[in-house]
Amino acid sequence: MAIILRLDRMMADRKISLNELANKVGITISNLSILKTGKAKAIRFSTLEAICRELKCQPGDILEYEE
Amino acid sequence: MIKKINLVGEKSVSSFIHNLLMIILIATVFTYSVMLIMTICGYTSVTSNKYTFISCPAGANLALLELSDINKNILTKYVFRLTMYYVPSAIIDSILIYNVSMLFENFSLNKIFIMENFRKIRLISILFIVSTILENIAVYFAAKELINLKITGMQFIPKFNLMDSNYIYGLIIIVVSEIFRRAMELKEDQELTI
Repeated sequence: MAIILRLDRMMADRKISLNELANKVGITISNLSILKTGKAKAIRFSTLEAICRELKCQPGDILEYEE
Repeated sequence: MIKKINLVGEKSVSSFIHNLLMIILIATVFTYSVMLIMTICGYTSVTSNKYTFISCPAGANLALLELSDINKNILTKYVFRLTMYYVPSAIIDSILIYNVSMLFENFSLNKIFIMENFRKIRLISILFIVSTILENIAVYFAAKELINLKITGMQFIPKFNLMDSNYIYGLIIIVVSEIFRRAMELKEDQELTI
């Protein structure tokens, strides 16, 4: 897919684990793992909002477009 | 108070249909095998009486008692040919019943929109159409024996049956398989939407 989620980079910057972020965002670890590994086909705005709130970043910080 | 009937999942209508189809499959295979063996034995029997009666289904024996010997032989040959030509169709039907049974087993295990079910439904539709073609071929070639049947005022003209509704049912099942495939794609999209 052309849209890539740079979640692992942001999680390393903020020094937050997968487990902790999943609990704070309110999704399961398996779903967060699907996002992290790039297997997700779509993300809800509510989930993106929750991730940006917890990681204190902009959507553009974690979403990238590659041709 | 209306009791809600479970159509899919454990202890549902699907599991009942699965079990029922397995019983029907075993009964069909057993019955057809016995009929085939009896037909071959009857055809190769030395005594003409045995030949007449063993090779025919039970109900037809009563009708045969009223016919002349020429017609008895023709009808017996017709039944023999029908039984033998039906073998490929019976094999296809058995595979079809097995696949339908396995499909309902998947439904009873809550595995509905999966690739295996889509493939099974597509196979079921193809087997259905092939079985119908084979049955019509069997009936046509067996019926050719009846041209020589001598019954006053009646003439038998065998024709290949192209207007069988089973062909339409087969096409409908192909469309259902495509709908299953689309549903599978939607399910995958929904599961991978976080």
